[in-house]
Amino acid sequence: MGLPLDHKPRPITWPASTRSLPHREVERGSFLPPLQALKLMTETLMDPAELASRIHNGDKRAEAELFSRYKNGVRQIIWRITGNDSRAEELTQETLIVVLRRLRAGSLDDPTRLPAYLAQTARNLAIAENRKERRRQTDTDSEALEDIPDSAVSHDRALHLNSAANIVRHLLNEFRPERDRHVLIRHYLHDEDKESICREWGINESTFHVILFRARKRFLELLTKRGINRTDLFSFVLVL
Amino acid sequence: MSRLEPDDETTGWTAERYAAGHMSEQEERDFEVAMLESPALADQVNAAQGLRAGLRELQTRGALSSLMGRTRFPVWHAALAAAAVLLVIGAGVLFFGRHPQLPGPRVMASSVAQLSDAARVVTASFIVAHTRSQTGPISLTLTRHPGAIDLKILPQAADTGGDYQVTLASTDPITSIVPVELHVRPDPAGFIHAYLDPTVLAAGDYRITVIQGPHTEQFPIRVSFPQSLPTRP
Repeated sequence: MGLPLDHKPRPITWPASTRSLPHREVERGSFLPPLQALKLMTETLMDPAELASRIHNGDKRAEAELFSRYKNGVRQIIWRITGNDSRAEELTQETLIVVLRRLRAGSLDDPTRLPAYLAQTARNLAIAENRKERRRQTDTDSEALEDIPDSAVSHDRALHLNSAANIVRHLLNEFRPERDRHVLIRHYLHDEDKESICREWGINESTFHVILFRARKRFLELLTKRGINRTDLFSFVLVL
Repeated sequence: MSRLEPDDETTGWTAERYAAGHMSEQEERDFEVAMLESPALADQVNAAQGLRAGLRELQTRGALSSLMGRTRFPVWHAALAAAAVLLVIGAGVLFFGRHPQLPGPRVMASSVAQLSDAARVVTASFIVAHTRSQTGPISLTLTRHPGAIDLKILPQAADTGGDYQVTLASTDPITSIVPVELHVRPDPAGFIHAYLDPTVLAAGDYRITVIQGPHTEQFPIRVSFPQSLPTRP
């Protein structure tokens, strides 16, 4: 999926209905570009410097691309630090808004390093949030807070868990040969090291990697087939 | 870290390590930048996490064991399978008529894939090595649970680079197995792995002989199956 060095992205042709759709930015919370009308093709991704330049010039589509392209990765980074899904969602929006403002102002020193800047901003905000949370917990009755059930999260989580289990069940049923199913279980469930799995099953490293690659690819295909948004799946897998 | 392509074998493994939390802090930071440069890489991480979550949920529901070894075939396969079984039975009758003795399931192998279906998962491991304090045979207390036993044999002589010939033979007139010979290389830690199937191994005295070039070492072992151990956890 890599782009050749001399790749020039084709201009993105947006459906006419999207051109006049407004989008609004709120002080804290969600930035709502017309994502439902967008279909971003990976082969037309702009390089970071061009993306930054277009945003600085007021290109709203480039701003939408900033969100759609980096949201998943930024949320992954923040979740690993905070361990809290709803906070991760909130801080992801905040990170992207902070970076968007810098890009609009043209104050990013080196636009080619946009991904590194995003990663660092995400990390800083997550660490700051963790510190705030620790201070909050010393000031309040944290046990009382923990006793309050979040029924909305539990319900969504149960649904997503069910989806993941069904997808994996389907995947295991069709995975051949049987050896490969055992390799998946030893790796993902038992967390065994690659070398011992290879040795015990008489496979080399390359075969091991191919088995995992097939499983990941099929998992994503089944996800899409079931109409599950990949970003929805992200929300619960990390809390397990 | 240079740009990572999510379809690349090595990159996929890197995404797996990140998803499992098996990276140093610096490696994580480098990977996160690479993940932002290549958004499809985040998909690989999510897929790895989704697979782990799905398997855990299936395990929690007790639905995993029934999925292992279960395969679906089209209906016409049943007829083909029946014909194949009849053919095998017929061939067996002819063959047994000429060769009354056949070796049974393998008692020892260089990988679990070569053992019976019941021994495809390693359930215990034992180190077989010479120690100063050891007097008498090395004791292996096993159970009859399905599952392979990983014997990690540590030769005293330095590895000269060729294959090790590992032989298991009985020294007890009661056990009397056909000697099993393997040709294996040690793992990076220097252990030679030989996998036993406890469901086809009898209690008694055995000897493991390890030969590499001019060096020969022998490890007497005593296998027992205590009656007091439960048959299922």
